[in-house]
Amino acid sequence: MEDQKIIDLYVKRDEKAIEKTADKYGKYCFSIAYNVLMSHEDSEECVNDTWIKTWNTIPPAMPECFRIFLGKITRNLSFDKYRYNHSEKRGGGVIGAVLDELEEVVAGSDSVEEAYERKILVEAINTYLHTLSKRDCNIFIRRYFYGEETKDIAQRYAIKESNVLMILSRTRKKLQQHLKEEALL
Amino acid sequence: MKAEDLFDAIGDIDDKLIMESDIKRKKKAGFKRYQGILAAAACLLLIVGIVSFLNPLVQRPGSTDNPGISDNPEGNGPLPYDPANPEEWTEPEVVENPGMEPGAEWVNFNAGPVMPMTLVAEDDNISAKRGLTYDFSGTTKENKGVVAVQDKYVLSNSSAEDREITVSYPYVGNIKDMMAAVPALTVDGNTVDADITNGSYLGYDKNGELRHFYPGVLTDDYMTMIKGVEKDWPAIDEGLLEQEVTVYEIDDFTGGNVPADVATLALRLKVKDTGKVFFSHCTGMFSDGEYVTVYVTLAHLPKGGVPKVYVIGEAAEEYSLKGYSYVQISSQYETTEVSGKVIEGQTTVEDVLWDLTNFYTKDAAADSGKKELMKSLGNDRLAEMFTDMYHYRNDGVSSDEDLIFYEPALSDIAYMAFEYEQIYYFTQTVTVPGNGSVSLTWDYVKKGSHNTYEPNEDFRDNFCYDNLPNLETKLYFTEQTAALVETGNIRIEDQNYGFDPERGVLKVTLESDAERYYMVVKVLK
Repeated sequence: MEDQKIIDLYVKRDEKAIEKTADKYGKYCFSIAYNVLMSHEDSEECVNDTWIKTWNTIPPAMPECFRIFLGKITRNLSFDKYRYNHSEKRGGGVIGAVLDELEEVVAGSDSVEEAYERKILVEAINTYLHTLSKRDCNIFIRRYFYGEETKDIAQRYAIKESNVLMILSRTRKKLQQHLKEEALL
Repeated sequence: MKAEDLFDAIGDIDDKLIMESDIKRKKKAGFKRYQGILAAAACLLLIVGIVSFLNPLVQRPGSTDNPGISDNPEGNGPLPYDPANPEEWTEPEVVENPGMEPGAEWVNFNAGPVMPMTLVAEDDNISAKRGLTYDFSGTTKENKGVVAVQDKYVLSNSSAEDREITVSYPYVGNIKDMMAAVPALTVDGNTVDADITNGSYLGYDKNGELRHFYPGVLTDDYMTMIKGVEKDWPAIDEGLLEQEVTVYEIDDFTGGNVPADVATLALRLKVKDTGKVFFSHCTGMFSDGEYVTVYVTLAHLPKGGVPKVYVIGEAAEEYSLKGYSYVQISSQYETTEVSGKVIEGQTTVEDVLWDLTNFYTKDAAADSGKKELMKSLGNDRLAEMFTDMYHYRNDGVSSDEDLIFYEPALSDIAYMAFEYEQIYYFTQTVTVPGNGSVSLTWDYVKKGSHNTYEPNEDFRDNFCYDNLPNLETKLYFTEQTAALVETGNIRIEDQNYGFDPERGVLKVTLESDAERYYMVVKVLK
């Protein structure tokens, strides 16, 4: 079933909306949650929460790209769960490594209490990503949005893993510079 | 700022950037094979902007950001996200224990309420005592809260003369389930075969205000259906059923080396009236007012389902079939590797609907002995829905933009006709002797309403059973009671009946003017 028809089911408050969403995007959302949480049980819970949040959000929300809309909800819920599970110590797995890498970017921050608005930060990241080549931007997103393994990214874009690591290192440094210029670090 | 804050903010980046990152690049070995295609695609991309208004394959009417055949036909397209190590991938477990939070309105499967019997014509001489029994002794987690319902009526005649009355019993179920078992009626202990007719489906509206073909979500929806639109039912356009149809059957669909989830065939037809074009087992359709393009992706073909495009009335002036190997946001790669052929034939609307009826009932159970009757009922339902769909497209609001929301997919409405919960009426004529009474008992099994995707373990295996004791009934009730049979396999979580199994209260008197009774039970075994 096409996305618009599924969204239409939500608008009509039709129970099949959840079923159709789960059929079509269950694996996609599960994979996002699993990359963050590395736990089948927790990932399943986040995916189920995604369906409920979607049900409660549409309407009034009318997503332009339903898949990405679901992906973002799953990612946010999964990361909330991750933070809850690791409130004292950063966990391992891919997400632990991803956060360690991002730590490099924020290393120049004067204070962990530094005030900034999340919206401004998102805008700064968007602006920065548009300055990258399409390939570098895609690789950045696969790593830091989806939390994919670097070897998987290499396979996706048919390049060597060492190239992926190099590109990620370069983009992190550029991001750090950009955030400093925007006075966010 | 912490790394966590940065990761969190990356979660809100531009959707289009995320979509771009979903596109996979072929490995070099395979890349050569696709070089020609990619080169053609590159050329195509250059002209996309120029021809976007001319070619329905490129620009979907009403869309500004969807220039491909589909952004993701039937969703799977080129998989938007594919873990790189499939061998390490484990399918997520299916939640086998559905349920719902006690008192929650949110359910994603509503089995429909139990509703009271009524009289086709009012009769002041007739009154009724009703006894409703929920027997949970056979209820298990596995059967998803199926309860045996007995709904017993003793009709009394206060006049000295015999009264012949016709009773009508509204029942919510679906055709496929009823092929296995239909509600049984006994009159004074003798089994009788009540007539069965279709009730309404939510969305039917004679004035063209609402045209969607979905079942009730909440108990209120069933109340709306019973109160609102039943009186105009049914609505089959017999003249429409007799109309001639040219069928374009897509056969020999092969994808060559192209993965099935991106191997797409597009049938483009030049027709006089795009409102007369329908399809079954295809993925989607666009129309620009002159040409109609119906496309189908190999991976989405249902087992045994043949993609067909139907043109009612005058046949297409011309048509062409093309194969595509990759269809994405801004890319479409035409290829001869994906191929098929079109078989043209003639039939009627009625035969088209019967073909779909046979397809959706071919594997259904026949335990009730009423398979043919149910097929006929389902076919009538499909004809009602098609009548509604056809007139909506041709006489109602039918701009090309609307077609995006109301795609003329006959296989979709056929699925709904046979597998969705709908209202059915069982009718029977009986004689109530003067100053005497007659007993009518309806026996059937009913699923519990539930949340299939209940995330909270505490609420899993919870099922809800609604009873609307006076909904639109013409019977005068002198008494209504409800009884509970359970064998320790359930626990009542929430209710307004007044049952108290621990204290032995298994039978209660109901208020006949109450709007709704509900009971949420947790199934323990």
